[in-house]
Amino acid sequence: MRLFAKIFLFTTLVLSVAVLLSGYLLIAVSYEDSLDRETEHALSQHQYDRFSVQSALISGADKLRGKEYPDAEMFRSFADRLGGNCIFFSNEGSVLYSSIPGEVDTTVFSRADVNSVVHEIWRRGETGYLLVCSIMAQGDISFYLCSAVDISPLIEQKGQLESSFEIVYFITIGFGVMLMLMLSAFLTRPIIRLTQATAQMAKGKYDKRLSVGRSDEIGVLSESYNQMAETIEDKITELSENARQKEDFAASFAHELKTPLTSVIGYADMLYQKDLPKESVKNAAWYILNEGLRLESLSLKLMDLIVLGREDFLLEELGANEILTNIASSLIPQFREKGVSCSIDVDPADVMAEYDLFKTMIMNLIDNSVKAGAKNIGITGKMKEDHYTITVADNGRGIPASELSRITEAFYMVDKSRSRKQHGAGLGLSLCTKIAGIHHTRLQFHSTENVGTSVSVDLAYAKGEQHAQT
Amino acid sequence: MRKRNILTILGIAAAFVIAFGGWRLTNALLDSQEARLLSRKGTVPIVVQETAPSISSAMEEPDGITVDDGKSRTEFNGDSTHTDSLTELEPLSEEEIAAILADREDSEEYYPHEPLAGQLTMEEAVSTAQKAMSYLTDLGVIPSGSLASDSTDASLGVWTLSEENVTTINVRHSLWTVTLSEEATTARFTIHAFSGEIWDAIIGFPVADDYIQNWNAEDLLENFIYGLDIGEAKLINQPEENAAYGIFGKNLFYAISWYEYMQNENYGIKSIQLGTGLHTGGLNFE
Repeated sequence: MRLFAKIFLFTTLVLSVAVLLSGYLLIAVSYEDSLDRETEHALSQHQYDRFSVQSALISGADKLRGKEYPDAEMFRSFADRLGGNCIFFSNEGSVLYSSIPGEVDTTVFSRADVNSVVHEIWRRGETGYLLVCSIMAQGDISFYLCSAVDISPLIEQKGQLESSFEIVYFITIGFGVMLMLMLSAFLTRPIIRLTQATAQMAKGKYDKRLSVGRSDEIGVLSESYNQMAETIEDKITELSENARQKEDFAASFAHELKTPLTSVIGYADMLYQKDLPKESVKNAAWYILNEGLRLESLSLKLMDLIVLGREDFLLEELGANEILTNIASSLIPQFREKGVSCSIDVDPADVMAEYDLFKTMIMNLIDNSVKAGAKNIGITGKMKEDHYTITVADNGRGIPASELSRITEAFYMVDKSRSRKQHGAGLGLSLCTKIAGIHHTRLQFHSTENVGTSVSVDLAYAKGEQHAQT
Repeated sequence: MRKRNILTILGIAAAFVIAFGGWRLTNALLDSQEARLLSRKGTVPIVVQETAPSISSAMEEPDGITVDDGKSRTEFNGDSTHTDSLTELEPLSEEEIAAILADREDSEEYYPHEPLAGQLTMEEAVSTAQKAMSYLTDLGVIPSGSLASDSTDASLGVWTLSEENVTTINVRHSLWTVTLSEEATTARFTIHAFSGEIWDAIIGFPVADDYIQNWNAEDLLENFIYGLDIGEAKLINQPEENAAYGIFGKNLFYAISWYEYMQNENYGIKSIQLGTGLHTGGLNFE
């Protein structure tokens, strides 16, 4: 069953029961109360009527002497004194006088006796009378007096009340159901949207978002859905990226493995198959050695990457000045060989770092600068307000802007042929990125093609260093 | 999907059935209730309460009423003289009288009832009123022509029901109201149904300019108060107001007053009022 039908049914049921029950109680109780009041009033009025008739009988005692019943004229005068409707019955049950036109009920008085007053309702067509009867006795005269109170207005009023209630009932049901349907449409619209969005997500469309615009439970649900969709989309993107990177990694790895192996196999086969001159043998051996070194470098870097996946290294307080100077000093022979000048400008400060990893990272960055053909390399360490920034800047070939986003991927090389010649495997910056992550920071690249590249990394101060600095 | 649509249609149909069926059911229940109510029959017993005999019925002449002229207790029906002390028949205490008067003044309810055992019958009450009229005529207060009444009305009732049981009437608290009237004269008497004492009287009658009107309120009060030992009351005459008060006990007073409304030089209406009341501080007796 559809939701609106359920709401329609349930609302109708609840409203019907509530309105009908209250209406029934209202009408029934008020009608019964009115009849009770009318009966009480009629009984009281009957007592007055008895007094009035008895007074008249006492006044007219002389005229009545010797008679069985007062004459019709006297009964008329009694009725005039009473004001309302009344019937006088003889002891035998015949009507002596009635102020009610037409036939009258002649059974009611029979229940009355000298010790009691009886009452009942007498319906005649659309009219109704509340009859109160008792025996009147004064001297030798006795007859039945019935006071008749017209309760037709009461019956009519009840009918009108029922008609009014009918109108009120159906209007209430109509408006109530319409209101509930509108309300349910208002309440369920976001749920429908949520259902549609969920269905879209089930089909693989993770970019669908809901407009929240409200702060109730539905709003919170929509907000949660959006957050969930955001997280799922991020995760999916991340997983896709990871999968792509793994595919790239596997392809690159296979390629990087195959290239030197092809050379090694080719030259080894040549040496095995043919008798080559000494120069050619030496040349082939050089190629085999060169490619072997590259394979060794590749395996070492891969090992480092696997090891760095642990990410549970302990950071210690290190003097930035000492470590950077130490690194630069160890590279002086390489700088001389390549004709590179290196300058160091480092503010003295203690930073939190893992010595070996940090050294590996800086040496990789300097190695990249050298491989990029830089002739000037600047190593700076600057104290900032809440961190220490180390920058390795060069005037090498730089990196095209379009390549910047991928340079940290494993095996990615901007210039593959040149990198391979330099025994590069495209793993250096990937390694540096991992090391930066272990230091709770990340590498920031600024590069302009043919101008140079600078790579910065922010490190946390050792405890108390910031206060000293400020 | 098809099943869902069928259920939806059935649900909507059920809602309409509930709405209209409920209405029909309610109507049927209301009709049934009306039929039950309109066929209801009831019987109310006429209460006859056994109690001590009234002062009036304890006397040999039940229709006799006593008049205290300040010196001795006499009857003005002239048939016999009773010297029974009212206290021997447990007359109403001052507190009881005060309570009845307070009820009459404050209560919005009035419960008419048939005379109970120990109370004056209607005939006795009417007779008492007629004799009071006769007495006033004999005194010359009311012109003799006013005596012949051609209409009598009487009712008996109480203003509160007994506290222990709301259906019980205290036989000592009922008052008869008897109205005697003829063409121009109307006299209304309030008579204590248990003792037969006249507590209030309002009499209006026509007067001509030749009618002697030099009444002394104090004398009239002494003459008119029935059942009162006036000798113990403090009498206050206020002739400028045509009134006199007899203060009795702590809370009660008896009073007489009159006023005239002259319609022209020769004809007017004189209204004379006798009353028992509560002294609530509204009167200046000093």
